[in-house]
Amino acid sequence: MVRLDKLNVQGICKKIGGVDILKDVTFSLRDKEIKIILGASGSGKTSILNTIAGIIKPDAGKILKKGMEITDLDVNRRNIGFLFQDLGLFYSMNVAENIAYGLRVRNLDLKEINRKVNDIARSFGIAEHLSKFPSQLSGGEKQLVSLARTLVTGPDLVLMDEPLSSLDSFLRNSLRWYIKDIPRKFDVSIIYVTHDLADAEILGDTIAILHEGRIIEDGKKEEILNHPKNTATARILGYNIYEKDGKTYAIHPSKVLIGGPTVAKVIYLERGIKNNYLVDTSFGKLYFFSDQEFNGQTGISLENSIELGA
Amino acid sequence: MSRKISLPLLYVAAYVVVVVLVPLILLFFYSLHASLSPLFLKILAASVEQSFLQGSISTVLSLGIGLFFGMLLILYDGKFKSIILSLLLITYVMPGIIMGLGIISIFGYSSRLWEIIYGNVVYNSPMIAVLAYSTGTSTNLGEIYSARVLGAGDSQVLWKFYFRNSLRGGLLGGILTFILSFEGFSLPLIIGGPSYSTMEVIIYEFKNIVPTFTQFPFSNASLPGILQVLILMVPLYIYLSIRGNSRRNDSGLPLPLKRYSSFALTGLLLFLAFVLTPLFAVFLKYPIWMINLPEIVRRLQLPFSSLLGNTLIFSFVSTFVAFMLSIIITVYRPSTRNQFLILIPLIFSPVTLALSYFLVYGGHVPTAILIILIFTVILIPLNIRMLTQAVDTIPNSETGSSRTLGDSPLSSFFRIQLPRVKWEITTILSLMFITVMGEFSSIVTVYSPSTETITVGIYRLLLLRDLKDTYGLTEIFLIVIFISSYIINRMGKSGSVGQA
Repeated sequence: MVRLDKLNVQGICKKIGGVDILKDVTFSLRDKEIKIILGASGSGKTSILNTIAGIIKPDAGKILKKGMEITDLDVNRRNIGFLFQDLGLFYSMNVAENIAYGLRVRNLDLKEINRKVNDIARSFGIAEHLSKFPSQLSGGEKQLVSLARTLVTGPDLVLMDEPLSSLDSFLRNSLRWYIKDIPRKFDVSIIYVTHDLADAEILGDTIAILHEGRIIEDGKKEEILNHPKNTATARILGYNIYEKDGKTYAIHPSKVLIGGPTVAKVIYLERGIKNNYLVDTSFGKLYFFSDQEFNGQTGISLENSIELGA
Repeated sequence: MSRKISLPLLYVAAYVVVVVLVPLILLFFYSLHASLSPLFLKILAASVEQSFLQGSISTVLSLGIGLFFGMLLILYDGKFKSIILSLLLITYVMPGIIMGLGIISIFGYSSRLWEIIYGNVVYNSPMIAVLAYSTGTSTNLGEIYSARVLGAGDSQVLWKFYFRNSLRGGLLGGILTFILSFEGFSLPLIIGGPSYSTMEVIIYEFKNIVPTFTQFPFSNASLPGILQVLILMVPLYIYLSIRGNSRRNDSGLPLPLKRYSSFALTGLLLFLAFVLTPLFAVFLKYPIWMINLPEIVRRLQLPFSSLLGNTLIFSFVSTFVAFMLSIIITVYRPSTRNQFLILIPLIFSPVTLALSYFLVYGGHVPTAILIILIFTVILIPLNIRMLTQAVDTIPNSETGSSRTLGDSPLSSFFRIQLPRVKWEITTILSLMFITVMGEFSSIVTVYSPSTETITVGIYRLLLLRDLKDTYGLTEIFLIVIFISSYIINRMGKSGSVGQA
């Protein structure tokens, strides 16, 4: 039996105001997979989600969900959840009404709605907030309400548009593990767009790199993070990029080793949880961090560098 | 691969055909049969000249005055701001016929050009001031404080930041002023006399007073109608292209030029006195206790209940229908191009609209239905603009959430958007109701005795030179307007409108 992907995006193109926002975007998503779409601001991340959700229509290309084409299907008929960057909570409704909204439009029985709302509120730890309005909630509680509202309707797929970007780092960390658990608990796949590498490292099963509206790399998380194939990907992943003998190399700041043949003069040393160094070498300026002390006398090793393609 | 044509575009196309194209084509057809006698051409040329003259002078004066007082509105940062804004808007929703009567009550029957200009300025400068204030206050306070830190003085802040942004709203108001003054009707008709007739006035006169020249009875009214549509297309296109957005600044930073607030308040109080004088002059000249309703009824030979009933029924039905249609159009508005098509009825001035609808539908539907149709079409563009602006203040993510959760566009509008803009909707309904209650130029072109409204009654009394009863009926009318808008606002407060 052929196993169908949860989602197949095939050659999506979109032009807005004469500018190509998405160019031949193609990728697929398996069951219970979390795919991270990583890209700089303005690279088209939100437009991809809006296209998959049906909020904007592509100029060309196809979107298939479980093998069925949904490219022209109305947004409300796709059964795709969407967690917006600003969450999109309904400020005229309390938490219970917010969560119940999707169930009410599906004309579920009132008893069933109550049961589902209470169950999901308990599982997200927000049961005591059900009668509150969004304006009375903290940032983290709003996130949980938005997650509960999205998942209670049982979507096949959830799209997340940098939902953690406005939270402090403690909340971000704890909510990442919440989200990590969602595919297993709720039997959904997730597409999560972000420019935050920590989101990608913790949440992703696969990572797609989006650069100027085009997916330039797509693959397993470990492969993409550790072996970028081109300069744009390496830049997005925070690598140092330098040239040597007419070839381009990338090295991650954590992979620069103290002690080695490359002469490096310390420009800046900033002590924090680790020691952060900006050094000048014959290949240009490089940034790295280490637990060790470095004063420029021993040199550094760039042996972990990766050779990049075009 | 190109996608299929969307259904909303088909709705819009059908709307444009029924509401604009068919009436326009018939108007054009009639205009081809106009009898171009030297006398007619002379009258037409004089009216074109008057329309341009009144439009240009009124625009220049209104723009100067409106921009100045718009800047004062920006500078004033006191507790009376919302009251001042509301009072300024009174003149804008005041029916033109009442403005005309206010001017007659001050200057008497004298028929001078500058009185029409004065009326136009009083009518339009508050609107320009409010628009200039609206775009002026969208100035980013962060930018202003950055400039301050870099050494900019008060005058530089005022000139380079506030004035530049105010100019955007002011110019928008200026174009609107030109259009409204160019197609001026009530003031030139009531206080202008034959020498100051605009195109709008001669359309009315050729339709109602001398309708027959050829086998096509309204052809000589249709020609200036078409001419006016063609002339006004240019300013209307500019107006629709540059219409501005106002966005309140909510950065939490204090206003940088607060120290000029009391100076600004003094100026604004003088401005209020200037614009409200014609309105109060009516009440001062003929105090409310002098109203003699039986005499008014005797002079008009119509029961007052008929006048009041027609006014309220036409206003209520057309407001309701326009509101519902506007909701559907607002919900299914996919592109700027379609919005432009929807706003196309704006190319018709009220009298031209009334004439063209009379030509198309006059023989097929009762006058009452024709009037409701005309009122509805007058209201829709105004309604859509206000509704769109109100709805656009809601974050896209809220509507997006309701749609991805499975709701239909229309249901999502009623469940999510409407409750969020309940107050704005109440104001919109109230404004529309008042606007259509005071509508005079279109109804006077097509009314019959059984469909006469209060504004037409006021005009008929004025033609009889019965000033005492004219002012009496005007005051009754203003009281009816006040009570109606109060009831609509109460409904909004109690939530019945928002939850409709």
